[in-house]
Amino acid sequence: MPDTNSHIDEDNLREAGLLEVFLQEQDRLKRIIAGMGMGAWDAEDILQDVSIKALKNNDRCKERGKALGWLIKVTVNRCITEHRRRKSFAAKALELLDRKRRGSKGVLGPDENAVCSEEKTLLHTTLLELDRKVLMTLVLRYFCDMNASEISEILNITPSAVRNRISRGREVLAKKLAKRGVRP
Amino acid sequence: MKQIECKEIADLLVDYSDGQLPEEQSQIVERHLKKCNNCRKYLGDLQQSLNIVQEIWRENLAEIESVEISVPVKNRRNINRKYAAIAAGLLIAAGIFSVSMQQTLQRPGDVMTAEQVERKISESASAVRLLATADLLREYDGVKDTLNKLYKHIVATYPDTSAAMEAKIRIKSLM
Ligand SMILES: [Zn+2]
Repeated sequence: MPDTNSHIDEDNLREAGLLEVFLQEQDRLKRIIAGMGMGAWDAEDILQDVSIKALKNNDRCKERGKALGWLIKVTVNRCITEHRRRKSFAAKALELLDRKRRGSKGVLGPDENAVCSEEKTLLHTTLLELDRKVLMTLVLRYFCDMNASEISEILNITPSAVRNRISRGREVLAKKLAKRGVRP
Repeated sequence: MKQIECKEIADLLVDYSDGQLPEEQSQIVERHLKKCNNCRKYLGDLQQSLNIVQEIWRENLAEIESVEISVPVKNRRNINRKYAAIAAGLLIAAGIFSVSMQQTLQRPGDVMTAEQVERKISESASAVRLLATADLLREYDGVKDTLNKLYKHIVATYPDTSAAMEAKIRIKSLM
Protein backbone atom coordinates (compact mmCIF):
# COMPACT_ATOMS: atom_id res chain seq x y z
CA MET A 1 0.00 0.00 0.00
CA PRO A 2 1.50 3.36 -0.99
CA ASP A 3 1.86 6.00 1.60
CA THR A 4 3.02 9.57 1.41
CA ASN A 5 4.97 10.80 4.37
CA SER A 6 4.53 14.37 3.32
CA HIS A 7 0.99 14.86 4.43
CA ILE A 8 0.83 12.88 7.61
CA ASP A 9 -0.79 15.04 10.18
CA GLU A 10 -3.89 14.70 12.28
CA ASP A 11 -6.20 15.24 9.37
CA ASN A 12 -4.53 12.48 7.38
CA LEU A 13 -5.07 9.92 10.10
CA ARG A 14 -8.78 10.63 10.13
CA GLU A 15 -10.89 7.96 8.48
CA ALA A 16 -12.08 8.75 4.98
CA GLY A 17 -13.20 6.72 1.99
CA LEU A 18 -11.21 6.88 -1.22
CA LEU A 19 -14.04 8.59 -3.00
CA GLU A 20 -14.37 11.34 -0.44
CA VAL A 21 -10.65 12.02 -0.64
CA PHE A 22 -10.83 11.95 -4.43
CA LEU A 23 -13.51 14.62 -4.47
CA GLN A 24 -11.44 16.84 -2.19
CA GLU A 25 -8.08 16.30 -3.85
CA GLN A 26 -8.87 16.56 -7.55
CA ASP A 27 -6.70 19.66 -7.90
CA ARG A 28 -3.65 17.78 -6.72
CA LEU A 29 -4.32 15.00 -9.22
CA LYS A 30 -4.80 17.56 -11.97
CA ARG A 31 -1.25 18.79 -11.53
CA ILE A 32 0.01 15.31 -12.33
CA ILE A 33 -2.22 15.08 -15.39
CA ALA A 34 -1.27 18.56 -16.61
CA GLY A 35 2.41 17.87 -16.06
CA MET A 36 2.17 14.80 -18.23
CA GLY A 37 0.85 17.00 -21.02
CA MET A 38 -2.73 15.78 -21.09
CA GLY A 39 -5.43 18.12 -22.37
CA ALA A 40 -8.85 18.78 -20.92
CA TRP A 41 -10.51 15.83 -22.62
CA ASP A 42 -7.84 13.41 -21.44
CA ALA A 43 -8.03 14.91 -17.97
CA GLU A 44 -11.74 14.23 -17.87
CA ASP A 45 -11.23 10.62 -18.94
CA ILE A 46 -8.42 10.02 -16.51
CA LEU A 47 -10.19 11.60 -13.56
CA GLN A 48 -13.32 9.65 -14.42
CA ASP A 49 -11.37 6.41 -14.42
CA VAL A 50 -9.67 7.24 -11.15
CA SER A 51 -13.02 8.12 -9.57
CA ILE A 52 -14.51 4.82 -10.68
CA LYS A 53 -11.56 2.93 -9.24
CA ALA A 54 -11.89 4.92 -6.04
CA LEU A 55 -15.54 4.02 -5.86
CA LYS A 56 -14.86 0.33 -6.43
CA ASN A 57 -12.18 0.28 -3.72
CA ASN A 58 -13.78 2.86 -1.48
CA ASP A 59 -13.10 1.11 1.84
CA ARG A 60 -9.63 -0.04 0.99
CA CYS A 61 -7.65 2.70 2.69
CA LYS A 62 -8.81 3.71 6.11
CA GLU A 63 -6.46 6.62 6.66
CA ARG A 64 -6.68 9.79 4.69
CA GLY A 65 -2.97 9.97 4.01
CA LYS A 66 -2.95 6.45 2.65
CA ALA A 67 -6.04 7.13 0.57
CA LEU A 68 -4.34 10.12 -0.99
CA GLY A 69 -1.23 8.04 -1.71
CA TRP A 70 -3.41 5.41 -3.34
CA LEU A 71 -5.16 8.01 -5.53
CA ILE A 72 -1.88 9.60 -6.58
CA LYS A 73 -0.50 6.21 -7.49
CA VAL A 74 -3.54 5.25 -9.56
CA THR A 75 -3.44 8.62 -11.34
CA VAL A 76 0.29 8.30 -12.00
CA ASN A 77 -0.14 4.82 -13.50
CA ARG A 78 -3.11 5.89 -15.55
CA CYS A 79 -1.16 8.87 -16.93
CA ILE A 80 1.83 6.71 -17.78
CA THR A 81 -0.38 4.28 -19.71
CA GLU A 82 -2.15 7.09 -21.53
CA HIS A 83 1.16 8.74 -22.30
CA ARG A 84 2.58 5.55 -23.79
CA ARG A 85 -0.46 5.29 -26.01
CA ARG A 86 -0.15 8.76 -27.48
CA LYS A 87 3.54 9.39 -27.23
CA SER A 88 4.90 7.83 -30.39
CA PHE A 89 2.77 9.68 -32.91
CA ALA A 90 2.46 12.86 -30.88
CA ALA A 91 6.22 13.18 -30.73
CA LYS A 92 6.55 12.43 -34.40
CA ALA A 93 3.91 15.01 -35.23
CA LEU A 94 5.61 17.68 -33.19
CA GLU A 95 8.98 16.98 -34.69
CA LEU A 96 7.50 17.33 -38.14
CA LEU A 97 5.77 20.57 -37.23
CA ASP A 98 8.86 21.98 -35.65
CA ARG A 99 10.79 21.37 -38.84
CA LYS A 100 8.00 22.86 -40.93
CA ARG A 101 7.75 25.93 -38.78
CA ARG A 102 11.48 26.52 -38.90
CA GLY A 103 11.38 26.11 -42.64
CA SER A 104 8.56 28.61 -43.07
CA LYS A 105 9.92 31.22 -40.70
CA GLY A 106 13.53 31.03 -41.73
CA VAL A 107 15.99 32.72 -39.41
CA LEU A 108 14.51 34.20 -36.29
CA GLY A 109 14.54 37.95 -35.82
CA PRO A 110 15.86 39.74 -32.77
CA ASP A 111 12.36 39.84 -31.24
CA GLU A 112 12.77 38.56 -27.69
CA ASN A 113 9.27 37.14 -27.49
CA ALA A 114 9.78 35.08 -30.58
CA VAL A 115 12.97 33.65 -29.15
CA CYS A 116 11.23 32.91 -25.90
CA SER A 117 8.33 31.09 -27.57
CA GLU A 118 10.84 29.23 -29.72
CA GLU A 119 12.50 28.00 -26.56
CA LYS A 120 9.14 27.01 -25.18
CA THR A 121 8.25 25.04 -28.28
CA LEU A 122 11.62 23.37 -28.16
CA LEU A 123 11.13 22.29 -24.58
CA HIS A 124 7.50 21.34 -25.23
CA THR A 125 8.72 18.95 -27.89
CA THR A 126 11.47 17.70 -25.61
CA LEU A 127 8.94 16.94 -22.89
CA LEU A 128 6.99 14.81 -25.34
CA GLU A 129 10.09 12.91 -26.32
CA LEU A 130 11.27 12.41 -22.77
CA ASP A 131 11.05 8.94 -21.26
CA ARG A 132 7.64 8.95 -19.62
CA LYS A 133 8.94 7.67 -16.30
CA VAL A 134 11.58 10.38 -16.21
CA LEU A 135 8.92 12.94 -17.06
CA MET A 136 6.62 11.67 -14.31
CA THR A 137 9.45 11.92 -11.80
CA LEU A 138 10.12 15.54 -12.84
CA VAL A 139 6.41 16.36 -12.56
CA LEU A 140 6.14 14.93 -9.06
CA ARG A 141 9.32 16.70 -8.00
CA TYR A 142 8.93 20.11 -9.61
CA PHE A 143 5.20 20.51 -10.09
CA CYS A 144 3.79 18.56 -7.15
CA ASP A 145 6.63 19.56 -4.80
CA MET A 146 7.26 16.05 -3.54
CA ASN A 147 10.69 15.02 -2.27
CA ALA A 148 12.70 12.01 -3.39
CA SER A 149 11.52 9.69 -0.65
CA GLU A 150 7.86 10.54 -1.23
CA ILE A 151 8.29 9.99 -4.95
CA SER A 152 10.08 6.71 -4.35
CA GLU A 153 7.02 5.36 -2.56
CA ILE A 154 4.64 6.45 -5.29
CA LEU A 155 6.78 5.00 -8.08
CA ASN A 156 8.04 1.95 -6.18
CA ILE A 157 11.70 2.72 -6.79
CA THR A 158 14.53 3.66 -4.45
CA PRO A 159 15.14 7.31 -3.55
CA SER A 160 18.50 7.16 -5.28
CA ALA A 161 16.81 5.93 -8.47
CA VAL A 162 14.48 8.92 -8.14
CA ARG A 163 17.43 11.31 -7.87
CA ASN A 164 19.01 9.58 -10.81
CA ARG A 165 15.95 10.12 -12.98
CA ILE A 166 15.72 13.75 -11.88
CA SER A 167 19.33 14.41 -12.86
CA ARG A 168 18.90 12.66 -16.18
CA GLY A 169 15.73 14.60 -16.99
CA ARG A 170 17.17 17.95 -16.00
CA GLU A 171 20.26 17.27 -18.05
CA VAL A 172 18.23 16.49 -21.18
CA LEU A 173 16.22 19.69 -20.81
CA ALA A 174 19.23 21.88 -20.12
CA LYS A 175 21.21 20.47 -23.01
CA LYS A 176 18.32 21.05 -25.43
CA LEU A 177 18.25 24.63 -24.34
CA ALA A 178 22.03 24.93 -24.64
CA LYS A 179 21.79 23.97 -28.31
CA ARG A 180 19.08 26.53 -29.07
CA GLY A 181 21.41 28.90 -30.84
CA VAL A 182 22.56 26.22 -33.26
CA ARG A 183 20.47 25.96 -36.40
CA PRO A 184 20.84 23.26 -39.01
CA MET B 1 42.68 18.14 -15.69
CA LYS B 2 40.29 21.04 -15.91
CA GLN B 3 37.76 19.07 -17.94
CA ILE B 4 37.60 16.30 -15.37
CA GLU B 5 36.79 18.90 -12.79
CA CYS B 6 33.97 20.33 -14.92
CA LYS B 7 32.47 16.89 -15.40
CA GLU B 8 32.46 16.34 -11.64
CA ILE B 9 30.91 19.73 -11.03
CA ALA B 10 28.26 19.18 -13.73
CA ASP B 11 27.13 16.07 -11.89
CA LEU B 12 26.52 18.15 -8.78
CA LEU B 13 24.78 21.09 -10.43
CA VAL B 14 21.23 19.69 -10.39
CA ASP B 15 21.42 19.05 -6.66
CA TYR B 16 23.16 22.39 -6.21
CA SER B 17 20.44 24.32 -8.00
CA ASP B 18 17.82 22.42 -5.95
CA GLY B 19 19.59 23.40 -2.72
CA GLN B 20 20.15 19.72 -1.95
CA LEU B 21 23.93 19.76 -1.64
CA PRO B 22 25.65 19.62 1.74
CA GLU B 23 27.36 22.89 2.69
CA GLU B 24 30.87 21.62 2.01
CA GLN B 25 30.10 20.47 -1.54
CA SER B 26 28.14 23.64 -2.19
CA GLN B 27 31.24 25.68 -1.47
CA ILE B 28 33.33 23.57 -3.83
CA VAL B 29 30.74 24.16 -6.57
CA GLU B 30 30.64 27.88 -5.88
CA ARG B 31 34.40 28.17 -6.00
CA HIS B 32 34.42 26.41 -9.36
CA LEU B 33 31.57 28.51 -10.75
CA LYS B 34 33.48 31.70 -10.02
CA LYS B 35 36.26 30.73 -12.37
CA CYS B 36 34.41 28.62 -14.99
CA ASN B 37 32.21 30.18 -17.67
CA ASN B 38 31.05 26.86 -19.09
CA CYS B 39 29.69 25.54 -15.83
CA ARG B 40 28.01 28.87 -15.10
CA LYS B 41 26.35 28.72 -18.47
CA TYR B 42 25.23 25.14 -17.82
CA LEU B 43 23.77 26.10 -14.45
CA GLY B 44 21.88 28.92 -16.18
CA ASP B 45 20.49 26.47 -18.73
CA LEU B 46 19.45 24.07 -15.97
CA GLN B 47 17.55 26.82 -14.21
CA GLN B 48 16.03 28.40 -17.27
CA SER B 49 14.88 25.11 -18.76
CA LEU B 50 13.13 24.24 -15.52
CA ASN B 51 11.46 27.66 -15.42
CA ILE B 52 10.14 27.25 -18.94
CA VAL B 53 8.97 23.69 -18.30
CA GLN B 54 7.12 24.83 -15.20
CA GLU B 55 5.49 27.54 -17.26
CA ILE B 56 4.36 24.92 -19.79
CA TRP B 57 2.95 22.82 -16.97
CA ARG B 58 1.12 25.81 -15.51
CA GLU B 59 -0.41 26.56 -18.89
CA ASN B 60 -1.51 22.94 -19.21
CA LEU B 61 -3.01 23.12 -15.76
CA ALA B 62 -4.95 26.26 -16.58
CA GLU B 63 -6.44 24.42 -19.52
CA ILE B 64 -7.75 21.55 -17.42
CA GLU B 65 -8.58 23.58 -14.33
CA SER B 66 -12.29 23.58 -15.06
CA VAL B 67 -12.55 19.81 -15.40
CA GLU B 68 -14.41 18.57 -12.36
CA ILE B 69 -15.66 15.07 -11.73
CA SER B 70 -18.51 14.62 -9.32
CA VAL B 71 -19.45 11.08 -8.49
CA PRO B 72 -23.00 10.02 -7.83
CA VAL B 73 -22.37 7.89 -4.75
CA LYS B 74 -25.88 6.43 -4.81
CA ASN B 75 -25.46 4.56 -8.07
CA ARG B 76 -22.97 2.12 -6.72
CA ARG B 77 -24.64 -0.89 -8.27
CA ASN B 78 -24.32 0.39 -11.80
CA ILE B 79 -20.66 1.07 -11.48
CA ASN B 80 -19.27 -2.28 -12.53
CA ARG B 81 -21.31 -2.26 -15.67
CA LYS B 82 -20.32 1.29 -16.46
CA TYR B 83 -16.70 0.50 -15.80
CA ALA B 84 -16.74 -2.41 -18.25
CA ALA B 85 -18.20 -0.13 -20.88
CA ILE B 86 -15.60 2.55 -20.35
CA ALA B 87 -12.77 0.04 -20.36
CA ALA B 88 -13.98 -1.41 -23.64
CA GLY B 89 -14.36 2.10 -25.01
CA LEU B 90 -10.73 2.80 -24.28
CA LEU B 91 -9.59 -0.23 -26.22
CA ILE B 92 -11.60 0.72 -29.24
CA ALA B 93 -10.43 4.30 -29.07
CA ALA B 94 -6.82 3.11 -29.15
CA GLY B 95 -7.39 1.50 -32.54
CA ILE B 96 -9.01 4.43 -34.26
CA PHE B 97 -6.75 6.94 -32.59
CA SER B 98 -3.82 6.45 -34.95
CA VAL B 99 -6.01 6.77 -38.04
CA SER B 100 -7.34 10.17 -37.05
CA MET B 101 -3.81 11.34 -36.32
CA GLN B 102 -2.62 10.41 -39.78
CA GLN B 103 -5.48 12.34 -41.31
CA THR B 104 -4.44 15.36 -39.29
CA LEU B 105 -0.93 15.16 -40.61
CA GLN B 106 -1.67 14.48 -44.23
CA ARG B 107 -3.45 17.72 -44.84
CA PRO B 108 -0.99 19.48 -47.15
CA GLY B 109 0.39 22.91 -46.48
CA ASP B 110 -1.05 23.09 -43.00
CA VAL B 111 1.13 24.41 -40.22
CA MET B 112 -0.48 23.75 -36.89
CA THR B 113 0.95 24.79 -33.59
CA ALA B 114 2.06 22.20 -31.10
CA GLU B 115 -0.92 23.10 -28.94
CA GLN B 116 -3.35 22.62 -31.83
CA VAL B 117 -1.95 19.20 -32.57
CA GLU B 118 -2.17 18.23 -28.92
CA ARG B 119 -5.76 19.37 -28.78
CA LYS B 120 -6.68 17.68 -32.01
CA ILE B 121 -5.26 14.38 -30.81
CA SER B 122 -7.07 14.63 -27.51
CA GLU B 123 -10.34 15.74 -29.01
CA SER B 124 -10.69 13.06 -31.61
CA ALA B 125 -9.62 10.39 -29.17
CA SER B 126 -12.12 11.53 -26.59
CA ALA B 127 -14.92 11.76 -29.11
CA VAL B 128 -14.27 8.25 -30.34
CA ARG B 129 -14.00 6.96 -26.81
CA LEU B 130 -17.29 8.55 -25.81
CA LEU B 131 -18.98 7.17 -28.89
CA ALA B 132 -17.73 3.68 -28.14
CA THR B 133 -18.87 3.97 -24.55
CA ALA B 134 -22.31 5.07 -25.68
CA ASP B 135 -22.52 2.20 -28.16
CA LEU B 136 -21.80 -0.29 -25.41
CA LEU B 137 -24.52 1.20 -23.26
CA ARG B 138 -27.02 0.56 -26.04
CA GLU B 139 -27.30 -3.04 -24.96
CA TYR B 140 -28.92 -2.04 -21.70
CA ASP B 141 -32.57 -1.24 -21.12
CA GLY B 142 -33.90 2.18 -20.26
CA VAL B 143 -30.88 4.15 -21.43
CA LYS B 144 -32.40 5.81 -24.48
CA ASP B 145 -32.49 9.27 -22.93
CA THR B 146 -28.95 8.99 -21.67
CA LEU B 147 -27.77 7.80 -25.06
CA ASN B 148 -29.51 10.63 -26.83
CA LYS B 149 -27.85 13.12 -24.51
CA LEU B 150 -24.48 11.50 -24.91
CA TYR B 151 -24.63 11.50 -28.72
CA LYS B 152 -25.78 15.12 -28.72
CA HIS B 153 -22.93 15.97 -26.40
CA ILE B 154 -20.47 14.42 -28.83
CA VAL B 155 -21.93 16.35 -31.76
CA ALA B 156 -21.85 19.63 -29.86
CA THR B 157 -18.47 19.26 -28.18
CA TYR B 158 -16.42 17.66 -30.93
CA PRO B 159 -18.09 18.96 -34.10
CA ASP B 160 -15.23 18.32 -36.52
CA THR B 161 -14.60 14.70 -35.68
CA SER B 162 -15.72 11.59 -37.46
CA ALA B 163 -17.23 10.45 -34.17
CA ALA B 164 -19.59 13.43 -34.32
CA MET B 165 -20.79 12.34 -37.76
CA GLU B 166 -21.38 8.85 -36.42
CA ALA B 167 -23.21 10.26 -33.43
CA LYS B 168 -25.59 12.15 -35.74
CA ILE B 169 -26.50 8.90 -37.44
CA ARG B 170 -27.07 7.22 -34.07
CA ILE B 171 -29.39 10.02 -32.95
CA LYS B 172 -31.53 9.46 -36.03
CA SER B 173 -31.66 5.72 -35.39
CA LEU B 174 -32.85 6.34 -31.83
CA MET B 175 -35.89 8.26 -33.05
ZN1 LIG C 1 33.57 24.04 -15.19
